[in-house]
Amino acid sequence: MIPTLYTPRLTLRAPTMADLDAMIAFYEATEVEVGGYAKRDAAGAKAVLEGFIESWERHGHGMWLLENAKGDVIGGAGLGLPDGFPHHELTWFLFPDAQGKGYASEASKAVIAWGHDEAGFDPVMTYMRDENAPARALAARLGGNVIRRETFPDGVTRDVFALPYPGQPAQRMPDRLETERLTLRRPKPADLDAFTAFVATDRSIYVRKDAKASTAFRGFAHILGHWPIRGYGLYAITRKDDDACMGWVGPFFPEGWPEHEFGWHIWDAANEGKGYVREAAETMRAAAYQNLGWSTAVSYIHLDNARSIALAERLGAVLDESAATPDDDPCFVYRHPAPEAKQ
Amino acid sequence: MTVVFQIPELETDRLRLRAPHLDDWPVMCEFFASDRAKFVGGPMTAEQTWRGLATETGHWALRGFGRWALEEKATGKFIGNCGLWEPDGFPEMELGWDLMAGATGKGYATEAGAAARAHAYNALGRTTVISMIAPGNDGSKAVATRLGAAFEKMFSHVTFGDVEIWRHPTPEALK
Repeated sequence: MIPTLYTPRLTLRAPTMADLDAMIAFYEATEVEVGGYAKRDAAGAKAVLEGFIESWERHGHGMWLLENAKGDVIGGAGLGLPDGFPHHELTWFLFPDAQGKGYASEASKAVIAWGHDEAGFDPVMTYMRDENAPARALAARLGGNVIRRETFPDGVTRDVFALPYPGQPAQRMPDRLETERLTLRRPKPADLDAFTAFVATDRSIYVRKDAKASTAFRGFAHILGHWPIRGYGLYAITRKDDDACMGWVGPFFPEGWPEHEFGWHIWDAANEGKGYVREAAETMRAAAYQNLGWSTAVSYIHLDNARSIALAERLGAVLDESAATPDDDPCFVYRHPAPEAKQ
Repeated sequence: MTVVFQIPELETDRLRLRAPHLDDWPVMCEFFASDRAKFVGGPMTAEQTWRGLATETGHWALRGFGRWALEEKATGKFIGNCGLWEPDGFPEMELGWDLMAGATGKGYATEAGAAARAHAYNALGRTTVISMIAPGNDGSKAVATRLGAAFEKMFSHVTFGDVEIWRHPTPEALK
């Protein structure tokens, strides 16, 4: 599976043969004069695209295409391994009109984080011809250091840069998911007031809390902080016509937990009984299975939370009495159906 | 709509102050499970330590400032946390520091504390900062003293009990 990565302005997605027109357009427009991104005819563009796709199959890494918010392909970035070359390289290309906007740097950080975390490259490297000033400038902006000079099988001697880890993993889930009636979006600081109101009610007794310092502020900060540390997290559940956060739903995985969780809460009883959580959870679960590659996940449910148990069962989850719980506090572990692809 | 976590990087002579990340967690678990963490809310379980890590990261989004992970530049090793902290229940912005096992006695807390305090004064425009220190935590008081802070009064925190408030010199006094 080729993962999709998300940055503030871009989606890095798998290349397919449906992208041939975009690749032909790139090779017509390119102003690069030497190397793999210099002008080519349509047959040449097709060969490059086939190589992108084949790389993922052969090496487990390769190029992503970069889509902007409108869904237009503006370039590509990824970890290439040219035939016969001894090791991977971070590489990227942009349509001329997409250059100079920081896209290469933005996409590269996600690629470097993925390469380190998922492909196991330590460090992620890049190398380029001495005269390739844009690539050298990007390597410098990314904090890269020249670790050696190496002569490659094509006879060209290049500087090899080690690229530092960008600090946080690549984002693996989109900022928003849409269902029929709902928008699921990343939680934001403005949701704190609604969460604080929820924590003050009896309804919050079913939520796992930290016995040490349990306040709404800290609990909320924990949920916000899960996103950049993991690259995914809980979504705020909102109606399409109202940005107010009604509760949350999402993939959740505190370090040290026995396995991945799908979690949910609805904060105000007035929003119960409308099928919102089920609608949100079904969309979230499908997206999480697809984007995160999980083959299973559970929901940890308070023993007395009858509504949540009923929802888990409606979602097709079944009680798994052999599964471990996060700590000594007893809770039910409901195991979700595996993604269809893995059944 | 993206929640952007803008965690600036700072550098001192020997340290890099950077965003916390998951690789720091095993080292934090060891520290927060140990007796040395008794002055900073410990000992904590691994799950509580995860919460601490995620909460410190989320604090940046809620407040616009927070605590950094400290990395020793010479080795790239994670050696502690330091930064600006103001969750609910705190009387005002606090400058705090925790050094992991083996990182004490080198002046790192003082070095990182000075950089974080300068960030509060220069980048954030604050005019005063406190440190909240448990009464028996002599090591932390020594750091506060080296940073020019002085004991001001006691404060009773709802969870952590009685702590000492040490006030740092103002931006003018540091000039």
